[in-house]
Amino acid sequence: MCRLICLLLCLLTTAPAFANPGDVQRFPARGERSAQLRIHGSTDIEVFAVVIADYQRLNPGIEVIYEDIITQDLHARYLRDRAGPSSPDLLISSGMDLQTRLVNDGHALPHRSAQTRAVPAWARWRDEAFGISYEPVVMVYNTRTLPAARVPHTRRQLLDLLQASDAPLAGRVGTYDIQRSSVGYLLATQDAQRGSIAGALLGALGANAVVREERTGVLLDKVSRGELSLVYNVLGSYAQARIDGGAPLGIIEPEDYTLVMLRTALIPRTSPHPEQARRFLDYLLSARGQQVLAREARLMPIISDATGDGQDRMQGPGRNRRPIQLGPGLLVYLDALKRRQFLDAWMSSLKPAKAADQTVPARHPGPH
Amino acid sequence: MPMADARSASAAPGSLRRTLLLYLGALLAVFAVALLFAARDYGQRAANRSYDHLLVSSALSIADSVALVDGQWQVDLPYAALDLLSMAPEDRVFYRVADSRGRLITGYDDLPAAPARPGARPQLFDAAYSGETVRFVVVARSLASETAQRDVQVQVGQTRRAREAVAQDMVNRALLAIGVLSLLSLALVALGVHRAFRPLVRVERELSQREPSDLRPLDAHVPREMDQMVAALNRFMARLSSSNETLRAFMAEAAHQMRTPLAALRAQAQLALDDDDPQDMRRSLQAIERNATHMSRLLNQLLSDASVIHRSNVPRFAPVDLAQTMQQALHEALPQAAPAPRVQQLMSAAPVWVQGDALLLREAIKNLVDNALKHGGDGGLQIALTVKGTDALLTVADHGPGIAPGDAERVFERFVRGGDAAPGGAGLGLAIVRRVVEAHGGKIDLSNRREGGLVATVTLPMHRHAQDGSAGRPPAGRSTRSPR
Repeated sequence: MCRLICLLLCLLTTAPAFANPGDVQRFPARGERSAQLRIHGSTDIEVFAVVIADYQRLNPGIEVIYEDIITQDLHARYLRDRAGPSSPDLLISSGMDLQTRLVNDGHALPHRSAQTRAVPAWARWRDEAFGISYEPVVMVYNTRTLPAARVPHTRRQLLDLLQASDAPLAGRVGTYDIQRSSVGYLLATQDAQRGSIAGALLGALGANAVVREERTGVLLDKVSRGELSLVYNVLGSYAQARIDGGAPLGIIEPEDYTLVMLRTALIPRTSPHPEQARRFLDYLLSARGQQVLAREARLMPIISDATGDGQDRMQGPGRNRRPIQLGPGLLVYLDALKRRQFLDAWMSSLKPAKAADQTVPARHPGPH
Repeated sequence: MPMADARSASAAPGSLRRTLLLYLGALLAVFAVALLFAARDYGQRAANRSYDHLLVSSALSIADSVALVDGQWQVDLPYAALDLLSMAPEDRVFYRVADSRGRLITGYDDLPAAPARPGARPQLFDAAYSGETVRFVVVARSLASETAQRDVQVQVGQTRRAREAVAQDMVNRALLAIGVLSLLSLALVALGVHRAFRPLVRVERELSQREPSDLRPLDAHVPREMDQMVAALNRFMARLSSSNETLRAFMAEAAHQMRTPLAALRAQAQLALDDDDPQDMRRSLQAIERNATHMSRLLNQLLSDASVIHRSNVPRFAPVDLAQTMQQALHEALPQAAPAPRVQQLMSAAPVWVQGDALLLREAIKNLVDNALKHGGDGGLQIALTVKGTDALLTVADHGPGIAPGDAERVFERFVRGGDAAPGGAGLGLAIVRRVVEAHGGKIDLSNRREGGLVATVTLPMHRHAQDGSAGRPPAGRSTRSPR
């Protein structure tokens, strides 16, 4: 009963956002149609359309159907409809934990090719899940409302800024609502088990009446408009796209550590056209595919052009990138009991005495 | 015929080298297979040992995180519990926390049950799950709440990829080691065989480079195992050499022996030609006739000696009745014309079987008798054939001057005659006798009789098979036959 209510609430809150990504788009074959490929992805259609178009230039006979679905729905829908007629051939999601879970539960087909072997070991698991691009998880600030001198470069500096006596970020700081955003949840859990500062930071965010949103786009829009001065833990590629579009934004990779998230692809075991899925995956990991991802879609390529090894880009001046590891560790926070406990703890950390009026119902999205 | 072929093929070992390599190769192969299985087994154990530790720690740390709060189960899954298992980077992980009645608290609901009820100790087992073989551990823990004691079961499973990889790695290393070892030992064996056969090659080369007449012993340095063969070869060559020597000496001696009577013959023939007196001429002719007779006897002996040498080198032995052979020999040896010598015979009526060559034995007896007639004076001969135990005894006694003790052995050598022997012998007779007797495994003794004269005793072993029959028994009655 409780689950049903949760599910309804979840659907209600996500419904408007759900329509926004444009649901399904069919990319008809350029030539005579010889095969079909159905992709479920969490990447915006506008971004991914470029990639699909380039793929169709190489393979004119392929019709591609792309459905843009947010990560937790992508996972849930797959488990619900996998036996159905519109079962996907390829799942591309930034929900690393959910993808890992699918692989762990035996839902993925292995794929080995020259292209998959080029993927660095930290970006693939069991030859079943492959990172196709990576995203540093960053802080984004509005260059107009936050003076350059006060821009934090580490979490400690952010904490200091949040606790500063003039409270420059009060009501003007934002982050993911981890109850609704599975990416936000993943990042919060990674912070929690990585840094000792996470708890204090969460308390300080709560004290500053942090604004919680489900989608990255909404958060970045608010920063661009100046409604917010800084957002914590968002995907860098989206911010970069807005900066290129002229928005007054700045990106900070925290120097204590910068989480790196993977956009991962896997071929489900129920795929009606696994061969097409393999070809498309090989294309995504090929030099050309990676270039298109980087240049046109502004997604950071997993395979570096120079060395074929992404590790060198993880370190460097002012960089301390820590890729989130694919593997069984990600299953821990997907445990239903663990998740409830983590969310409870997160909520109570965010709810200081001051923010007692901000009643947030304990909403649990449907189980994956 | 095919039988004979097969026998000869199995008798001839073919290439020693190939045989050695074959046996060692087979041994190595068996060894390698055994080692491979051992490596695989050991690898699996080792992999299980190390990864089972992780699995058990993971399950225990999950069990530690279970709490009972207000009658509600709480599980605060430790991050390390599952992250620990990514030490096996490619392996999937499953877990399940259930209460004592098997109701799911959290995790995967459909994990296979443990084969036995979980006790205090962690229980490890393999089971098929999610399309793979999965290694599971089950631990049980009791939790006390304010109302009651309740049990909780934690089951953690991990696919076996890393374990199999460890085992395979172990097998691969073992394979490499086995391969290298096998090659090395085969090479070593090949080298050893090559070196071991080098002395043989040396012997072969030395032999093939020799003149046919060179019968010196081999002085090749050979390993101890080949000493026997080389010694046998050397012994053989020594025998060959000595027999060659004998033959040469024999020919020289024979030529010498023939030359003297021939010279006498020529001289007497010339004398006869020069003589006018028919009386003198007749005397010369008689001398010629005597010498010719002597020469003919000499030639007979030489022929006999040659045939004895030939036959005793290639013995064709069969059961022979010595009594019958003796009768034939006497018939041929005793002069048919007058004056007939007096011969006393003591013979067995029944056959006396010996294993031997009848022709050789006859030849020997003839020579013995001939010798006795020649040197035995006029006192007559006593010839006896008796059986003593398992031996047949043949004695020829005469009434001649006997033999000087110093000559008793020498007279058996060729062309050697007793010091006071009557003229007219070539010195071959006793040599022939001894050769034949020794070829038959017997012996011959000469001794002087107390009452004067010489007795020659030939001892021959009787044929064992014929002995058993009635025919071989000692003669029941003795008959004394007078000479013809």
